[in-house]
Amino acid sequence: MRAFFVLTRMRVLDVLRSRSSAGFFLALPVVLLVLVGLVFANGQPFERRRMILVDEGTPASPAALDAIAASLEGHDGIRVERGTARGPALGRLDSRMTSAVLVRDADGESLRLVVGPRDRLWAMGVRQVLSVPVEIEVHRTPRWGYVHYLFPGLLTFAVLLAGLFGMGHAMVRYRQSQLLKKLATTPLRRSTFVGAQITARALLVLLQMIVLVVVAALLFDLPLSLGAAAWMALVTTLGLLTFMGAGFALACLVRTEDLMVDVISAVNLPLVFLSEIFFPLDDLPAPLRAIGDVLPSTHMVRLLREVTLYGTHEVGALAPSLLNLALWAAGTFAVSLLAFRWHR
Amino acid sequence: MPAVVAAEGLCKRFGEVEALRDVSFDFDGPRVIGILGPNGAGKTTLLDILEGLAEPDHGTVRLFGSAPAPYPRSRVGVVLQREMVLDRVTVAEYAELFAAIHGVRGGQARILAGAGLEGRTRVPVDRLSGGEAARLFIAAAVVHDPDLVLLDEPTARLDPESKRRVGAMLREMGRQRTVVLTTHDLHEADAVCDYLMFLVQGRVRGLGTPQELLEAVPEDQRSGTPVESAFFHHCAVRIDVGGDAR
Repeated sequence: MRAFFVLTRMRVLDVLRSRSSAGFFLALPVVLLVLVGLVFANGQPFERRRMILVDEGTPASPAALDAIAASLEGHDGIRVERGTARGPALGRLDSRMTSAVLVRDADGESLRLVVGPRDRLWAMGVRQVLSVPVEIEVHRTPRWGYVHYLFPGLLTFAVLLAGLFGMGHAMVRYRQSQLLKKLATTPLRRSTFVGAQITARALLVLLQMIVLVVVAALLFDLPLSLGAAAWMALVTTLGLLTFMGAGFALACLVRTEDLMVDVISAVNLPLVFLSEIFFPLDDLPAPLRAIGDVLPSTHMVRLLREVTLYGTHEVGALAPSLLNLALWAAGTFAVSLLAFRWHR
Repeated sequence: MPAVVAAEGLCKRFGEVEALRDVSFDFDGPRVIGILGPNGAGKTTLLDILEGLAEPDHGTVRLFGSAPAPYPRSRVGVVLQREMVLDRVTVAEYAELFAAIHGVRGGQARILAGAGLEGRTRVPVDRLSGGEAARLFIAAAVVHDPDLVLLDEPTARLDPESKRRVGAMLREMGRQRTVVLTTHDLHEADAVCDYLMFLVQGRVRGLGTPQELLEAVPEDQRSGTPVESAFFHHCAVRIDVGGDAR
């Protein structure tokens, strides 16, 4: 057990003592966050006219909403989708991922079209198209809504890098520096060594997450409840395990540090663009969308958005993405442990 | 009493290169045993096999009278040819790590004292001189009081004074346990080793105490140190200062 603690501490210090590693690790995600915050201070760079229909009427009347959806879908430039509840739909409105939420109120009679302040005029046009009476409600959206949308993506990006580099690159470096061969000559168990690497990186990522959240809260008014923070920590840990597993698996196949950097970059770049980190997948061509839908990074981003922005905390709703991450984590670590050798 | 380390018919091939060919020996102790040969003789391959890091293609190894499965890590200490040096790891941390891995209470202080580095605890290992680093690696490798210590060229690239100091450390260790080291340094072998195995091109060319090996050399063919004379006589090659055969 003592070896575990010594190795964990050594790994944490290894990163923190190096100015370049610590800077890359702690500062890069914060700089990215501030940068995108400034770049997208006035909203998202592309216009999405999306409307979410929510039926809160009792009894539910799918037919009523179907008729509304049908009347809107004939028009170019608007996409209609169904939402399950008002809260998550308003969360998407806040993060600028939808332009409007159409709610069939509990009385089953009135329809309310909820939009942000900038979309009032557009909402009046929509009301003209609809064949039923609709009340327009202007919802105060946060100034930094799109930055809030990006925050889970940036956190995922940071965890992705931490996992691939933290485990993958470190393992190759350890192999090249003979550390692994040296440890193979001692009674140290493989599980103790790998456990210490995971724990050290998890502690560092936790620190990174706290820094990011504090900066996002102070500069960009990121709303975060205690429950959301707890879920975020859980999802981040699961994501980290997954990407560390991937890094570990790569380290079993790649021999040199230089090649490992190239391989990580080659893996990292497509993941960033196919994982909803900066934009939703549904405007991508179908094959790319299909790939994105199975990637662990996509599921991590979606989970983080659900728990931090849309207020979804029910395990049932989050289970599919949690399961996806868990399966990836188990799969990559299984491959790694089968392929792992202390030395070549 | 079984030999501490015994090998029977060890063969190892890397593609076209025959690294070891029918290598057999029985080493017992306590004493310092030197595996002497030029670069490329197969010394590191042999040590990797003895350390349980590589498998021979043919032949068997026995440690303490038994097949090494599972490998008796707690009874063996190892110093590699190129020891790991991670950036920014201090002497104290290095010592603490190996004391912790071997579960030795007070092991950190023991390693520091053994290496004579009590006053250099906060210095990163990669800033130590070659001699200091070699002493640290050796002290860490024996923190758990192993019965057998395997060292791969522990004094390579050291200055003469450091070689002398490390040599004295190894001789002291050899009084209590079996120490097996590889070297291409004939002077070191002469000064440190009680028993020698000459290895050239993967084959054993001589095995015995320096005196036994020298006895086979006619008086008129002796020149330089006893080990130098014996090595040239048995192996028909000389080793230059860089370790290459000539």
